[in-house]
Amino acid sequence: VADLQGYKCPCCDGAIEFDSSSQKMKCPYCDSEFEIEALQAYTADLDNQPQGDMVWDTAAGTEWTEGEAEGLRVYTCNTCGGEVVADETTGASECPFCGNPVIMTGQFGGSLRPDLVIPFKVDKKAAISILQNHYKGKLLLPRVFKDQNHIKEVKGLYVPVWLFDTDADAHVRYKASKVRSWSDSQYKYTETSYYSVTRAGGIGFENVPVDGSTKMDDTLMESIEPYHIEEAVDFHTAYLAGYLADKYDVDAQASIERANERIKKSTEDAFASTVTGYNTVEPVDSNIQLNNGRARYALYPVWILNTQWKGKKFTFGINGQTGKIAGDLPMDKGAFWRWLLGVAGAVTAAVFGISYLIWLL
Amino acid sequence: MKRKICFVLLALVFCLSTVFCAGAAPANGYIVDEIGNLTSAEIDILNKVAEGIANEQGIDLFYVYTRAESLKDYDISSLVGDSTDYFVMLENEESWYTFMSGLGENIDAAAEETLREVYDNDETYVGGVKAYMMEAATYIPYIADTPEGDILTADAHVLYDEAELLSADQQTALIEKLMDVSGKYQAEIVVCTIKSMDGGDIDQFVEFLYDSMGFGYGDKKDGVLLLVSMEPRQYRILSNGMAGEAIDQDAIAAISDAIVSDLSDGVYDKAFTTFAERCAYYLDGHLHGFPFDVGKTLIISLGIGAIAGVIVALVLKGQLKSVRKQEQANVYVKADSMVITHQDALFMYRNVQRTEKSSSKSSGSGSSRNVGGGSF
Repeated sequence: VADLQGYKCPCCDGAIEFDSSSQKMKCPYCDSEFEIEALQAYTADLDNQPQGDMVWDTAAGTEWTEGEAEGLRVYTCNTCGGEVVADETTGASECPFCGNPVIMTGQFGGSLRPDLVIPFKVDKKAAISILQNHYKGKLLLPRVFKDQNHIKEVKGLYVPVWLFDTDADAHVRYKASKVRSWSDSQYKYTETSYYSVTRAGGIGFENVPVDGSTKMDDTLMESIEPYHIEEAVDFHTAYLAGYLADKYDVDAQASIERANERIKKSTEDAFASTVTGYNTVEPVDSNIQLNNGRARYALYPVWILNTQWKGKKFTFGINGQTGKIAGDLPMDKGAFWRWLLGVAGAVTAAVFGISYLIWLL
Repeated sequence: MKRKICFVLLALVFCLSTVFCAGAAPANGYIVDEIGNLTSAEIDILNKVAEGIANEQGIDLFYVYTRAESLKDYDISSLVGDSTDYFVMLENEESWYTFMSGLGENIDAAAEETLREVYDNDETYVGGVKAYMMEAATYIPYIADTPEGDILTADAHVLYDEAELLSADQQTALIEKLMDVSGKYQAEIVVCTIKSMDGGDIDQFVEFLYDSMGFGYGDKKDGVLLLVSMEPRQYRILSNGMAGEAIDQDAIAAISDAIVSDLSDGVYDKAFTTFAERCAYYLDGHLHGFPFDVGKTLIISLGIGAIAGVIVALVLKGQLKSVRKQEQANVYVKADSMVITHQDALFMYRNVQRTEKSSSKSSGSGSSRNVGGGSF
């Protein structure tokens, strides 16, 4: 028994003890009982779990070749500090992030050269049309918003994105339960059996994007995903003609954490989907090792549309490849309450009337 | 009067059978079954019934099913022993015969025919023998103490106030009420009170009482019984047949809620009157439809309307929000890249929860019976 004293309860993590009367391991805190063999196997399973390790090769991007970036100019916004890049023929007058004037601060240089770029497929006219359609069917959108707000600026912007590829080796443990019910003449019985379920294996991810710009709202960028990376091409400055490009100010190493969060969640969910035949399944712990991790530097096309209404700025992002739009709209509080009370009143009347008709029948 | 005596006897018999008090039973018991029509358990029960009658009324009632061909020559001396007051029903496959002595002489030829009738009318042997004994007991003078004014008239078979909870005036008013409801809805509404359960189980007793007393009207025995015990202070409501369909578990719970405070406060006449009125309400609703409950319907409608309004408003509000963080990276999983290299499931422990079933049940004839109640 002495070698069992260090065991912890799988239910509450309390120190578990041997109960001589039941000849089982019993938790003094939650009264759960376990067969000794089951507890030993469970603990051995825990001890054998590999430690989570996420290692990345973040050597993304390349150096510019001599003279390649000569035609690029850097424009700086004195209000928000944003820096955008445009070629000398395009120029820039307003900051795409805050709408304030920008000034050219010099020749582009310093940053890494992107590996890939997804060219714009949605043009400016189509982007404006998509925004107008975005207003349709929104019953709580203030009517005057559509009429009074004006699109202050529409800018095609290449947003710096770090793309992460990796193979994940996962070892995930779940707490699962099966429920069985039966009854006799006096009582109904419900038996819940708990299992420690383990799944181990591998799963691959490719091109998980993380926004590399602090000026570009990360959530807005994620909202207009996905991009079809198979349409990406090797970067060439010619793709920047007519558009702005944001300079990355969050490097690949700093972006890993966000990629890890999404990869870990998807890995857990993917392996959980293989745990079938149980009534409940919840992850207890997971260890995920990443192999062959590498990052690439890409530019994603985004239409940024800034509008103003009642002095408040509304920013919309449109996926420059697929046309998917994201951007929160203002709510007419009066309309909200009118709809709530109107529907409540109508449903109340309908339910009351139907109840009365049923009673009459 | 006949039913009144039965009620007292049944209470006594039930308690005897529950606490297994030994009476001065004959050495060979009151029941002899040479054919095997009765199980040993059934013989035990019938012996206890006979024992209760013997203790209460001083007569030994015997039942014998014999292989002997000549019934009149059957030797009953070893059966009756020293008893001087007895009645023996003797039967074989062909006919039946009776022996009697002392108090047993009260059962005359006409009464014997009645005994055979109630015996034959029951579908089971055990039921027939029990019916014969209960019927036979009614022909024997009742020797238990009977407080003055406690014995009800033959018409007042809807109230049995053994615990003496009601005054004479209250009894009269309640009987009138119970009979009025019983007649109007053709379902017998009965109130029984007893001083003590003497350790017996009230759930078993209320069913035993209903069946043994023959409560209820018609083939399905339509009726409702309220049984109140003062020791322990518990009550049960049993609804049967058509009344069981009208007064289900929910209705019994509602009636219980309506009467329990009055029972606790000792306002028994009000509790019993409320019981009768609530029974009438549910029976009327079952037979003619419940009145349209404007208040309740309006509250439910408002609740549903409010929920619908909130859901619709929130859905419309949600349409305005399209900027959302992506928690997963599912769309970036390489096609067919997922491989399971190890999988196992280790049983850890189990919990078993036990919940008491509702006492609602159905009889074999298709009619329903519900029992419910509590303490007060």
